[in-house]
Amino acid sequence: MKKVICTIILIISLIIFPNIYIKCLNKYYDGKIDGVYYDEIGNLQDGLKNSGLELQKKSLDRSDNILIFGSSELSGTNFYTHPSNFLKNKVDGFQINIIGRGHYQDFVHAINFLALDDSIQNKKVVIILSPQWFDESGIKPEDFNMVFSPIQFYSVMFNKNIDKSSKLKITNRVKYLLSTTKDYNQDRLFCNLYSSNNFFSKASIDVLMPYYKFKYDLLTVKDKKNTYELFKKYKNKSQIIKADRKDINWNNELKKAENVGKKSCTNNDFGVYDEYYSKHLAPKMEYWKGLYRNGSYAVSPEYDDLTFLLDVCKKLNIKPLFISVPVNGLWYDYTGFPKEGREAYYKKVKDIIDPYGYKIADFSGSEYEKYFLGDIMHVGWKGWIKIDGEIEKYYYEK
Amino acid sequence: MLPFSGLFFFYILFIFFIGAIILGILGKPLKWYGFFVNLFMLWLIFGNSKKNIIILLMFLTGELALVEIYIHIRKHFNNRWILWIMILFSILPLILTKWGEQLIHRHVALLGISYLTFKVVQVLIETYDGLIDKMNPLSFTYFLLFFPTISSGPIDRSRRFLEDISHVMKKEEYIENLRRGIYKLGKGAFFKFFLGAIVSNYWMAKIPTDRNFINILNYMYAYSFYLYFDFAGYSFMAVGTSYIFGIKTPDNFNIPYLSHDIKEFWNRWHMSLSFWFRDFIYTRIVMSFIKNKVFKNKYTASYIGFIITMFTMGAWHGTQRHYLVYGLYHGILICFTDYFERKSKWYKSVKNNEKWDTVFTFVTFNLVCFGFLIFSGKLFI
Amino acid sequence: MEEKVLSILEDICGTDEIKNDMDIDLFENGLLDSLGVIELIVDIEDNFNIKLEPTEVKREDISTPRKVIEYLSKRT
Repeated sequence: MKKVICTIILIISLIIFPNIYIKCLNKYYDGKIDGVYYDEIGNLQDGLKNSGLELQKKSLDRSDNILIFGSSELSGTNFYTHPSNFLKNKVDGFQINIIGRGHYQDFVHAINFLALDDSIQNKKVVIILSPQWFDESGIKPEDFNMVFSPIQFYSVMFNKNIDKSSKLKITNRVKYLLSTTKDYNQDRLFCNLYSSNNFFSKASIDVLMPYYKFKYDLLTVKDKKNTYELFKKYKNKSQIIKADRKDINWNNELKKAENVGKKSCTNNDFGVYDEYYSKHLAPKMEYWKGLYRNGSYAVSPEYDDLTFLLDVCKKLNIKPLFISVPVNGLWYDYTGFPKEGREAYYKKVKDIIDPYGYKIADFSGSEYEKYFLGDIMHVGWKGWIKIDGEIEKYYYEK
Repeated sequence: MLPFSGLFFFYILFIFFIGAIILGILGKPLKWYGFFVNLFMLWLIFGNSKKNIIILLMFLTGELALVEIYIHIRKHFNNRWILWIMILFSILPLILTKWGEQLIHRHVALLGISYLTFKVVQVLIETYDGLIDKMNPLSFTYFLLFFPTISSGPIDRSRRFLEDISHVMKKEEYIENLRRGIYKLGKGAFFKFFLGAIVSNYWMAKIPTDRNFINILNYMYAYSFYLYFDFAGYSFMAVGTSYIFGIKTPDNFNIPYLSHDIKEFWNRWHMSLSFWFRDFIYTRIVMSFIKNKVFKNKYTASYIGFIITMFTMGAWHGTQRHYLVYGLYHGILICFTDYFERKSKWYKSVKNNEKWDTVFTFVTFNLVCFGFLIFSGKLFI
Repeated sequence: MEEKVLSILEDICGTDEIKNDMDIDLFENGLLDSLGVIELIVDIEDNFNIKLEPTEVKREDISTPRKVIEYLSKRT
């Protein structure tokens, strides 16, 4: 009998111990990062920031931070006008915080917003849209794999304040978007079980729930631990002093940017910087010519994702500024991508966003404005100056 | 998913333990529950790719058919060449996984196939020996694809395994079994996830990569300990899990680094593998040598047996040069040890002396570690 | 039979300790190794006309002289 009792105690402690351990770790790291944040992190392109929660929440807590959500153009820090160069360290009186890299599209940002929940409520944010998101397939499973954030996902799924229909929308979409990878088998299983409506899957998810909760707890602790590790690197640096709003002469800046652009694009007529042109385009000019003559951004599952993102903004009372970026008109013409397929996109995003009453900084007219973009699709010297101006204006707007 | 890796596997495992423990404590048979759990776990392990499932099913049906057919044939004919043909068929899948690209221009892979093949060959040989004369397909499947041991052993024996599944334990017996199972599972987890991880992260990973004597020596010891904790840990978890489902899978490790000589080492390291080689290769070869009086000296027969056995063992790990050298190294070492221990008067006079015993243990440990250095492939870059 | 078995064992192990201690563990004391087991099986087959298969005999069945005798008396 003694042995039986010992065994039972052993089993119970095996179950309880990890939970207590995680709770303690959580407390420990909470104490370490409580009240700590370094605004400079906003200038970074950083995986932990993009797919975690703690760093974003801390930034949102600061009243002079503005978060900019986008995709690959945010990696273009080689342009001196990129916000993480031009507006860094509060030179204009506020701190930008860039979030995203390639393939961070509407759906990914929507999950992110829901995961931030209270923290992002009533906040002003900037969302940079890219026409290329809206091709006929929208975000592809093989791209989603690289940007899927389990912690943000479970943070949404376990949040009781979020309605079931949003959760179902997410699980149905994630289920499909994770269907080609083996890295997220358990997360896909969660989606499968959550979104099907039979007795077996309901029972299964109940049985598995402690596992998923525990996994979420682990991810949370890991997020906090990594945040703490990152903070350690900033410990000895002085905090950024808040400057006042600078009186920037945007017209002069535009001229300056145009000059820099001109100097950077010497070997082609597309307004593409030299290295990009000689590396990606020049070797295959014949191949590119007319390649996309059937291209169009008029129909795409991405539009549904955009609508979902808008619904999320509305639900959380977020105040977004959308930035509509054009394509490189000269290059698109060269590849034969029809004008109608581009125009349809510019119009459609406007039509979808307008009813929500959100602001759009619409640059669709700049397709042929040289040096607005820096390559065939990413914002460049002049484009960033214009966007920086919009961000400043939006931040100071009452 | 790989067995015994990741939180999810363990969570599911623990859930299934509950049923086994309840049945066991009530003194009920665990066989049918075991079948069901095994099926589910196989689905979990192989189910994430249709290709895997198909290969597994093909493998299972093929080997099952082979065993049933041979059991039938053996009732009428006991020619040895039939056994050889059957063995050749049974290892065909293993051959395809190793040389599939060359032979059928296709890459074939199946988790744990080298371990599964051992089990089939054992059944075939013992059928030839007349020790097996019937095989229930369901029980064979359970034996062959028993999930705790499917990926890396221990290599169980069919007659022992089948005895376990038909034996219904009394409450007290099961509780004792359960206690040992939990102990082994805990020990295994501690070995693999704690000690193994420490050696790997804080010792092995910290060794500088430039090749000099000190670094290689350091790597040799680090790798030897890592291999032990990782593999023994895995084996203990597999054995512990088996116990909880009422199967007393044989142990695989018994403090091997404290062996006094190389022969003892092989009785303590990866035991289920070395015993398999002993029973089905060494013993058979040497016995036929002795029966047919091939060599005047029985020791010559034994030494040739050792060399062939250990070389096969090396080649089973892979046909790369370092595995073959590893096999030969141990074969020669065993022969030399045997010869020395029989002939040396000095050895006989000191072998029961405690101090010398420590020396022999130390020497053995270093010889073993050097063997693992060969095994790691580090010497052949 | 007992006499015969003991003399076979003595031959293989190369010691007369066996007659003095019927319960001596042959494996633990290094008296019987893999080769010894093979010899034992071959000799038993030759002397008693019993066919033994290598994996039929478990080591724990023949770990002492007494057990060897018991095992064989069951088989004849």
